[in-house]
Amino acid sequence: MTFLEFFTDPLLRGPMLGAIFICMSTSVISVFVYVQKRTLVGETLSHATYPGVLLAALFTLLFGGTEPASFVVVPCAFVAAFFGLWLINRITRKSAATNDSALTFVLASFFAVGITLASVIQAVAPATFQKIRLFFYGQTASLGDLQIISYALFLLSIVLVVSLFFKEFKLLLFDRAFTRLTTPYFALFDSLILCLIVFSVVLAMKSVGVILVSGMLIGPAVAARQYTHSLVKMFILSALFGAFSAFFGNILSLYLSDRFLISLPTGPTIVIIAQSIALFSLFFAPKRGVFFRKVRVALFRFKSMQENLLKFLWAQKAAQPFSALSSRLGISALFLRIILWDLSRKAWVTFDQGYLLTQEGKKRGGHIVRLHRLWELYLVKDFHVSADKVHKSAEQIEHILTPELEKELTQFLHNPLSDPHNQPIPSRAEVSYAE
Amino acid sequence: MRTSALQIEHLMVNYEKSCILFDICLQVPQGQLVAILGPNGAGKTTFLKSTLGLLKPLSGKVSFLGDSFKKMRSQIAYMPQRDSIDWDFPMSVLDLVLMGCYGRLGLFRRPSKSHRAEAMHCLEKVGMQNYSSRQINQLSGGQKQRIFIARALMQKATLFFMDEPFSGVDQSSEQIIMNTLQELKSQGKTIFVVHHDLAQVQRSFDWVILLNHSLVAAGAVADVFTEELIERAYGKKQQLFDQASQLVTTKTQGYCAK
Repeated sequence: MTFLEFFTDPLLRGPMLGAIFICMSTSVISVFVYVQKRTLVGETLSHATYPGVLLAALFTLLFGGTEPASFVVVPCAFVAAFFGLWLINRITRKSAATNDSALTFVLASFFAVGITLASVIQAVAPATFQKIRLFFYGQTASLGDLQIISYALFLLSIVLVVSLFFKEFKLLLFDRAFTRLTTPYFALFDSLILCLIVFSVVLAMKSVGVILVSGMLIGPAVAARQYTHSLVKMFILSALFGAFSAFFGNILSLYLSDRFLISLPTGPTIVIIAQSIALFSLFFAPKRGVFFRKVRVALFRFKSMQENLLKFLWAQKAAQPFSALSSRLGISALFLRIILWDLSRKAWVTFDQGYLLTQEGKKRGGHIVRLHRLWELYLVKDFHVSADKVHKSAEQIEHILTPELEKELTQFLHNPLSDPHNQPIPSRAEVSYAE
Repeated sequence: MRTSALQIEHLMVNYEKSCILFDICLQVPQGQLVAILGPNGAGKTTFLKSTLGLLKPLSGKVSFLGDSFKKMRSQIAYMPQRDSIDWDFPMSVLDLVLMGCYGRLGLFRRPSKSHRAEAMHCLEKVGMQNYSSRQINQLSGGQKQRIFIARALMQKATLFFMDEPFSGVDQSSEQIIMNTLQELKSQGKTIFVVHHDLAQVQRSFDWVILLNHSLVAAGAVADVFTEELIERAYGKKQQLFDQASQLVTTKTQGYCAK
């Protein structure tokens, strides 16, 4: 199977292109949901369509049919979703309930009604129930050319609306009060966002299913947020993540059923991939991710230890044996070996019957001592901290002070020569080195 | 006589059946630096918001430069309280300032190069031009207030409404904000500022609206800063009245006192 066949083969292109278009649409909308911190809205609306879908099945049965048609299901789902939305509004306005409790109330009660209806239909008409179930969990395989076109149109109109009114949306998402004051059509845009959410939930029914679409309304935006501080880029990234999930969801479920006869449903696979991307991003995004934050902390600790070692050697006259360094720094032998290896690689430390500093190393070590003593003097002179209490703070700040701050401190303290403990402060010329 | 910058007739605001603002009538002339003053919970922010129509008052008529809000929309700048903002929003400092011209631009039009230059100029006025590409969250408290001041400047309004622009700011930021406000005043603008600092108001403001649920006084600083009026807004007498009126609401509504 070639790559292109996924998009041209009459059997494959429906699920592939259909899923990509609808997932991109929901992913764009997920940005609205996420930045407004209204993630529960997507969840609630998707559950609110549940009884709507089942009512559609009920109507079909009442009128003598067995297989619920899309043109019945979709309007019913719409009505249910909008009814849910109206109820949320009503509850929040008319009672003391918070928005969150109104949302959960609607979510739970609509879902409960849905399940009740489901069990009735399952008992009365099992065949119809099997058909209607597809709307809950989605059946990507059933997507055809009609869906490709309708999803593509939906995506196109979302992109059009978002880019035409980008500045209005941005304003509304960020600062509601300000938007109300400056934009006469404030309420229109507010409802437009909600309508887009409802539309995406209902339209995504056939692909990922009503329940799982709420995942597509959160995951891509969460992932996108981790990589950028710009709203435009967030929209684009989120859409890309959506497309990526849809593409690999399809590939994965095809591949697994082809090779290993494991039949993974495509809709849920897409959602799992989207959520995995979000989870991965939360941990591994370069700037905001937890993992790289830990890495930066570890690197800082490594640098601090190196500097402590340089500082210690700077103060010693004779070469120092490994054991002396080890007991001084109080770190594991392995860690110390790595630090020493790195320092000798940089040619700041050499070994001659013990460890000692090179010319370059002396400058570095002296520089740390200089920062330490400058800071101590600053605390004593300008904050009136007693001289015996400043060491601890200086131990940390010596690794942190930037050249600019050092310059300011020097000027501020009139280029001092000794610290509060009457120790000499190495002069700038003495310890300056080229980066 | 010139029309007043702000005229309020019988403004009343209720929240869940308890009265926040009671029958406020006042007039403020143009070109003044106006402080909205009062103890915590006196309804200062509510006053600002209901004046601008962000909160629906029970009754009352407000006019800006003699006209309704709808007609004067483009002449009114607003700066919200710092805590009400989502600082994690994906946006740069320059983007925030550019929002000030969105109202002028209307639908469909986008900020152009000249708008960007203008926004940079506004940032310069508050000494924040070096931070234009920063994410809004990477700023200190005072800097955050300053970029919001820049956005208000960008609105090119005649009336400015600012909710606590001096809260949580460092000294240099305070000075910069104060200078900016003074400059606006010298251009004939009227600036309304919700404020806490009595001493600063006395020093640098022209006009005071002294609130404590009802209007205690409104007028030139010299007329309002009398011991008696300040005592009425902040003092024991007022507290007793507040407690009593709260008791009245709980009793008549059948709520349990906490």
